Amino acid sequence: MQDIPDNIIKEASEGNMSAFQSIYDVSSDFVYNLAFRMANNAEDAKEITQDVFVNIYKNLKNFQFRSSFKTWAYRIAVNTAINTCKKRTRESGKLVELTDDIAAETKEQPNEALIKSLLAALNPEQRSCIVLRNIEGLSYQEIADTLKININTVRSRLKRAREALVTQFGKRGGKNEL
Amino acid sequence: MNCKEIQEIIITDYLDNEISEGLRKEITLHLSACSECKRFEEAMRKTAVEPLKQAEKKNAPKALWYNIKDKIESAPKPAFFHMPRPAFAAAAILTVLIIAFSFIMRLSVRHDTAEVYLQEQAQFLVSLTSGNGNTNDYEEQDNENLSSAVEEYFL
Repeated sequence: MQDIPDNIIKEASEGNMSAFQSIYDVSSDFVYNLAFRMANNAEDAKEITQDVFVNIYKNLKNFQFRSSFKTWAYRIAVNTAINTCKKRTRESGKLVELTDDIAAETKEQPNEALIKSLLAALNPEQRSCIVLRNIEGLSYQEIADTLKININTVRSRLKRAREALVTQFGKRGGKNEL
Repeated sequence: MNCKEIQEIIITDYLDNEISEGLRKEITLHLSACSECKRFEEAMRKTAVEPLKQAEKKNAPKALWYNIKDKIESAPKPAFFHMPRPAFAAAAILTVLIIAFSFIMRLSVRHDTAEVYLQEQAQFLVSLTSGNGNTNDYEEQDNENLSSAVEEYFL
């Protein structure tokens, strides 16, 4: 995501919708991508993304430039996504639903079904670390800053997540040589 | 380092390139000599890292912006009088101080008034007990006035 000039953030915080749209244009794809991978489906990803940007708009006046805008936006996105995932888990009793549409989606991209299956095996905290590291490419320190956790907690969650991924990969019939 | 310690590093820092060059070289050297750790590294990389790195980046649908804009514009507006938080806190503290000060001042004035009142009452009571109180004089005067009025009536 390219840097957003401070004056654009300030104008958007004062209610300038055109400035806020500039912020949206630059950041919507990474927010949506994160939301999609956290929720594992497009409908929830849209809802999460909308909630994220409405929250960003409401709280822009409280943004004090102590962290980068990207870190702040990531934090709002992850927290909103985790809350949605937990809500869905309470409603359905399962960790992120694997819908029957996976067979249909496999036609579009064979790897997509595997990715959804792998991510569905993780709890929201593990999934957020894996998505931020492996899909968004954040460093351990950036992940720690985004999630406001210790860097060793990042390591610990990644370790547990990858152990679960290996198990899940094996269950799907992939060659697991561990 | 033993194989368990090396595998702990492989599963996170090594695969994510979050280690120093020196440690990387040490582990790479170990992998070239240890088939078990080598198998571990390959399996971890192929199952837990690479598939996700190849995940397609999803783009936000075009229509999403209009939904967000609608939600923002249809949300209830904040009150006309909106004060920034620090200013609001300062104003609130100042108001409390002014109220407290005026309350203290009023208490002080009342205290003085009460003191004067009590002194006057005390003097009055003393005058009553001494018999030289004004009220006795007033009663006598009243009686005299009444007598002269009666006399004049009958004369």
